Amino acid sequence: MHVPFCATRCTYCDFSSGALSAAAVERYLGALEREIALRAPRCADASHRSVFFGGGTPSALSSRHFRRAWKALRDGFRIAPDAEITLEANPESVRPVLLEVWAEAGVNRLSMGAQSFVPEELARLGRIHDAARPGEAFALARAHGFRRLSLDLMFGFPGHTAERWRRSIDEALALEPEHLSAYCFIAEPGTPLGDAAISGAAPLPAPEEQADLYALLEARLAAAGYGCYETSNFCRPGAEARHNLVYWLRRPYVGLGPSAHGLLDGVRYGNHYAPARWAEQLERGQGPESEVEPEREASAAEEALMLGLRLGGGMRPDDYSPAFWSTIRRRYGGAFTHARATGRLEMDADGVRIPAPLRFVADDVIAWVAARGVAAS
Amino acid sequence: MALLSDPRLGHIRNFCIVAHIDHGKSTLADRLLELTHTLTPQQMKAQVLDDMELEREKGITIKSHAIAMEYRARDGRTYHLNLIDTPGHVDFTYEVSRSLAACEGAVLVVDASQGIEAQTLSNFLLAREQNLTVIGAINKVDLPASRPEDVAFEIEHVTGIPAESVLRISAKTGAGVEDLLEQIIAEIPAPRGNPDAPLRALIFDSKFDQYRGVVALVRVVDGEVRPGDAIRFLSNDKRYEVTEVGRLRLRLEPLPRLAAGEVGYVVAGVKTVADARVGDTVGAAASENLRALPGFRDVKPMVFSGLYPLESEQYENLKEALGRLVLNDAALIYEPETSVALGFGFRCGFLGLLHMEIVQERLRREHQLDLIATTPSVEFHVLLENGQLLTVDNPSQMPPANDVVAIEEPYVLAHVLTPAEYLGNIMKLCQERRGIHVGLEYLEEKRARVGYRLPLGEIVLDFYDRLKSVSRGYASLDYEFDGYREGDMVKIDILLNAEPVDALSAIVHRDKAYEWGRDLCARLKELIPRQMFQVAIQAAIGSKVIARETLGAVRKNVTAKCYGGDITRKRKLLEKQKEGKRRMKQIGTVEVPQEAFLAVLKVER
Repeated sequence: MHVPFCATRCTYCDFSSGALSAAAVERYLGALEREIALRAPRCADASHRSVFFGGGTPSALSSRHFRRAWKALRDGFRIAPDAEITLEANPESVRPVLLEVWAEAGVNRLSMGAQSFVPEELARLGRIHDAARPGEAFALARAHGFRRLSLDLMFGFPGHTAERWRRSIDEALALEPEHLSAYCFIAEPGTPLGDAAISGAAPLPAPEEQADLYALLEARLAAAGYGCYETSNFCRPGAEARHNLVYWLRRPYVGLGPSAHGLLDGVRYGNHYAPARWAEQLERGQGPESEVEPEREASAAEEALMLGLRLGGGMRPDDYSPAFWSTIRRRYGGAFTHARATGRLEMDADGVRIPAPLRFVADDVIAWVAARGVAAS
Repeated sequence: MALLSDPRLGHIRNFCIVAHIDHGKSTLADRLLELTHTLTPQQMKAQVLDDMELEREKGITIKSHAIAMEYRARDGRTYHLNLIDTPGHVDFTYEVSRSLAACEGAVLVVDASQGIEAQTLSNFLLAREQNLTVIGAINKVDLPASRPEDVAFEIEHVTGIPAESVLRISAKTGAGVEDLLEQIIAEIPAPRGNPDAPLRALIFDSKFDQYRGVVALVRVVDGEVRPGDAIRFLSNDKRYEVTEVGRLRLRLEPLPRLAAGEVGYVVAGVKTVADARVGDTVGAAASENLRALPGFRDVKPMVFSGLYPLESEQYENLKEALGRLVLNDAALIYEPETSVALGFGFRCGFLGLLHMEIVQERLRREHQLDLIATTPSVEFHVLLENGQLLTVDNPSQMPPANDVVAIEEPYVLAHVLTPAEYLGNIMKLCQERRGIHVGLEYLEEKRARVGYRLPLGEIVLDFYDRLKSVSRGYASLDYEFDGYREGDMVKIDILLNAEPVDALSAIVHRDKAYEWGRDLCARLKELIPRQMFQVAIQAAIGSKVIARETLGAVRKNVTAKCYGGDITRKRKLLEKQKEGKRRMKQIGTVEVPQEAFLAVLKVER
């Protein structure tokens, strides 16, 4: 569920998000209820094993608003008793009253955007919390019984250095998160920092330097007992985000809210990006999708490849239905063998994966394998 | 052959236009067609004679054409005029000579500001060899930069055509064009030939038509030809029955017969243009003792290159496409070959570099084939220790240096016409290309013609472009084959991570080997994208490495974020990257883009 509100916009972010006002939130919740009514019957038989409140800033919702969203969701969908329920929270908005509401609703995992622990960097990234705030938020969450906490970091943005990166990593590790996501900065056009990077006003570190920052991250996290289970995601053993694995293993999911995407009944859909446009469609009793693409065998296999090879464990036969795995084998079996022979992939009984030293050039490997796939038959 | 024209042929004039590119040949042809009402205004489009798309783009005529016109002259009689359009490039000198042989006269068109160019002069000399009557015309006299008096003087000096008889015209405005038509009738003789003798006709071009088979463009010299006649080609003694004859307008226009002196086409169920070659004689099948018309030559390719499909599954398509091209291009030859680097392909022989470009471009456009071409090469004669003599047109087949006693390379005799101020640059260029100076003459005070014997291998790649650049586009080039001479040639191999890439091997002169190796390695470094691993790019003679570049490994190529909402977008991105990968050829562990194989064409020497 995408919650499209933020107190302020970060300088690098191009996600769907608008200013937080009571009227806007009321309209959003009304439309959300309509979308749930629209989609819920489509998966009446399913029991949902994970829920993810993303944004935007889901933690920006007041307790009353959060309860209303949660009720709509519970009433519409069957959610498994042991479901993983994650909420993205900005450190500054983590307060006891909200923690209580979230815990009461069943949220059992919090993902916090720290991005950096260096004050100058936080300012540059447009973050409104200070470097100490994530620590305080973690302590509060722990005190409220949250046992699965995740932290987001960012690296490779303009002006980033190895020395500062080490500081941020160490500060993050000191909080002992169960899970850690670390993203290499993407210069998104239309965002202040992205435009500055593209124009050269705020030069980006060279690709080699970014690669070195990634290597530093991997080494430090490995030493602290965190494994890399996806290109940008690390965790202690068993603490993988179950919800994200749904995307990466191409299992069905429902997307709700502006810009949300879903994969349901063999169809990929994407909702309108702008919150007003999304809401308007629903208010008129129409579907909120801006794109709908039925999956084909070729697109499904290629997606599985694109997503699966990003995983630390790679593509494993057990993760797919036998029929789908044989499709993958038929299309890419030859390419896998060829890729192994040229050092691009590792392959054994457990499956096929990109060797750790090549993780930061994963796109190259994936395109190489995809280009050698057998065309549709 | 009768010395005087038979009165029955007195109304016919066959002529061509000799001109340099851009001097207005096609525009003049357009005006003639208009003045003779050959085409309705709706049919007129600029440069109607150049009908192949490529020809229009390059502004050069590749194939010969002809068009029949009727003109009511000032003397009140109606004349049949046949304009034969000739190719305009040094690669096609033989084809030009056959087109000229089909005519009695030529109009020499010279740009009023540019003066005579090498190609024009060379075609003029060819016309003289065929004893054609040449009429001089200075074109573009309407332009401010024109200097017709100087150019007329130059024409007289170079060709012997009296300056005062040279016409001043503007093909663009039409000024003087009617006078030109009158002069064509007055000065160009009617065709000679015996209408009562058995059929002899000269093929000056032939093209393949999907519905008719080969359409041979002919000039009937003796006798006549009608549908149903039995004919034979004198060079190969192949016999056919004529199904259609006619004259050439915008389309083929069938006639009951073609008679002596006339220009037109003959269709006789011939399957490939290789069986109806330019310069061959079409004779009456019943007359066994006919003498072939003079000048037939089996054209030999001068430049060779391997053509390979980018994707190996395209091999059969390439084979079929080449098969179709040769139906219409008797000068193109091909045979299967294999390359370690590129797999299965074809060794192709071309008249020259332009011809090679045209063939590649047609394969690309008309047959949608993505190709990789190996380093173009000339044909070397190689004398081995064991006394054997080999011809080698593929560098990868050059025997090891130890087995070789001597290598001979083909030479051409080249002439460059240039404003005198660029003479220094041009002589320097020719010397760099191992040229042997053979003469220099001034056509007028400020224009010179300089001659060099040059190794063909030195000029096939970029000589023409360099010539143009050192002379600001003013110099022009003409050359002819001039035999073989010994040269100190070596084979240079290119290695990627120690694996030789046979498609990039070249045979070059020893003095230039180091420079060639260095330059090619540097270019390849620019063109080959960074790979997952470091790549060593080396040039070597035998086992001796003479140049090296190192391409560092790619360090970053990754999508940082990929979640539920991004998947469609990311897959589109993947499609693009995949396409990029498909355009690369995997050689050993290294992926080499198609463009890298073009680097050889750009090596500085």
